[in-house]
Amino acid sequence: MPLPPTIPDPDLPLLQRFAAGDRAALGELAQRFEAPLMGLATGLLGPRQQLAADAVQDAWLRVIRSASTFQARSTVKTWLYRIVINRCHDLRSTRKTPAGPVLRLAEDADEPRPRTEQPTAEHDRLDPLRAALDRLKPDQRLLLLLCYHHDMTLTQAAQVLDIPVGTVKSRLHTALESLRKTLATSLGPSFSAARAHEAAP
Amino acid sequence: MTDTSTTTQTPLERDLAALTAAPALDSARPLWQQALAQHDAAPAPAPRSIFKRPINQRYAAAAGLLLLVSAAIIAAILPARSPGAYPAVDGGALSLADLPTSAPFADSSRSDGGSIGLAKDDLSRAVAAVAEAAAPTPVFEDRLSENASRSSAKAALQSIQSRSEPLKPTSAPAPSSPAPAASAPATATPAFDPSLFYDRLVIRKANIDLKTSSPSQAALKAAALVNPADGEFIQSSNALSDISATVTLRVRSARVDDVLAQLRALGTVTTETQSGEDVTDQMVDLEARLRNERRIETELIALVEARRGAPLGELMSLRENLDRARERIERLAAQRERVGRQVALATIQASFSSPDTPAPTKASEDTFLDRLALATSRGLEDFGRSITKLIEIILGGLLVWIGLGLLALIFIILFRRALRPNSYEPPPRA
Repeated sequence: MPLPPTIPDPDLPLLQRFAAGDRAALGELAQRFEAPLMGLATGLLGPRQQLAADAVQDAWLRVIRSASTFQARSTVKTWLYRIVINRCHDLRSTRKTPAGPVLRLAEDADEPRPRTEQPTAEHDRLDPLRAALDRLKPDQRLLLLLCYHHDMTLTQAAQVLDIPVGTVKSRLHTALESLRKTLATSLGPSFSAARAHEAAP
Repeated sequence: MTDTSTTTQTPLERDLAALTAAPALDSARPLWQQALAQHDAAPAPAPRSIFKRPINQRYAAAAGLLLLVSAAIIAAILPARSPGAYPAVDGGALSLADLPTSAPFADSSRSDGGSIGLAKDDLSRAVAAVAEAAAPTPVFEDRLSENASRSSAKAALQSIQSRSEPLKPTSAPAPSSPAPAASAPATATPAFDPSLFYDRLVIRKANIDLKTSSPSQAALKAAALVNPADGEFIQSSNALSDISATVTLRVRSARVDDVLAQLRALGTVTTETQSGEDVTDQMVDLEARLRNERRIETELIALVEARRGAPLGELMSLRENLDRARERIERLAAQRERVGRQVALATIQASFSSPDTPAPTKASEDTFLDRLALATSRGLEDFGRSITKLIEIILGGLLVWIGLGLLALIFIILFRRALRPNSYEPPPRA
């Protein structure tokens, strides 16, 4: 999905500078995107920080190798996100990330806590949500995490996924409904209470 | 998320955002620096690619394997059609290599000089020579074999027509004791003529109506036209009336025109019709089936001989099969004889009537409405046959088509995945 010609890509000059040999430009680009990319990779791969770091590092490696051939048919941000998402898919399939929360908790016991400064209580609070996401279809999980990620707009999400914005909206609606149903099934009355609280003004 | 009315996010949406919240990173060793160092330490390897695109090796291997398996399955299903493996006789198919040394049109019991005999050694040699000279493909061999059978049948016909002995009714041959070709008379061995390859075997019929003052006399004269020495005969005669008489003659096909000309001289012709039925294909088919049945019979006899000590049940089963094969052979041979006789002797029906007798009315099928009804009926029959054939094709090939379609679909999916390992990543620029 090409970018409309009237909107300039603010990240393109940095990539072009890097392609021309300016390594510092990559640092500036990383300052803008490394943390958000890491966040998305963490969401996609689970709380295992090392796996997410591997995905992002691999993505940077690809950027370094392909920067000179980038043709700006999409924005740099869209490109970066696509690369990271693909690396996450690859790692998830090759390393067989467990889908269930029980297995994940068992693995977490062997792994050090993530480097994020996320409080443990907050981390534990999100576990049911992670488990519910894992039960969704991969496309729905990706859509939910991408659309609510950082400052991602629906247009950008559509560009990353290479689908129309209208399709993103309809799929997002469906994915949210599925997630709510899954949560209601797993959490039972507590989720219903939360829904009631959510609906209250 | 912007672009939507999500300025007020629900708790669920806030939790979703929290799942991908940007973490605090290790500032000592950023990931991009590690990637840069990794790149410096090991530059990008030369891409192993075809079509200048990266290849997912696993999918490519799976696609290749699928292709190989499909090719093996297709090769196993399709019959081998190489010239070396071409079957001599298989289920009625004819081949040069399997041309018999005895006459195909005559059996042992007919090699007595009065039979429709034909020594086929010459024919086989000639056909083989033509085939060799033309460096035949298997398809050409098919045509040659078919034409060889036709020519042999035609030659047999000629032998009938050229001999002076009358035809004798014969019984079906004993399949296990084929007559040697040498026993056939020399006159019954026509020289090989390549033009016979494309001749047809036709059952000829003719009807002629004449006006004459004395029908019974005319009928007697007509009956005298047959030459019993050539096997010709009077099939039926009704010349008792002075008003009308009918005589049906069976004469050699080659003499039909001559006999008709003589009949025309017996009166005034009011109606004359001729018709012909091409039975070449039927004859070729009969030959092939007969040859196949004889082969089966020979094999069964060999089996019976080899299994003399076998249990009684097995022997009885073999005997039953042998009996059935012999029965089929006799039936086919009789059928072939009948068709051959019809081809050899044409039927001429001559009707004589006095001038006072009203002319026979036209056949009802000559009226427009009857022709229309006949055409409609035939059209409906053809339509029914075509529908049946279509259903046969669809149902018969359905499983094959579904299987091939599935294989093709899997191959396409694997191939696309092999060429596009990262579904969301834009293709690398050249």
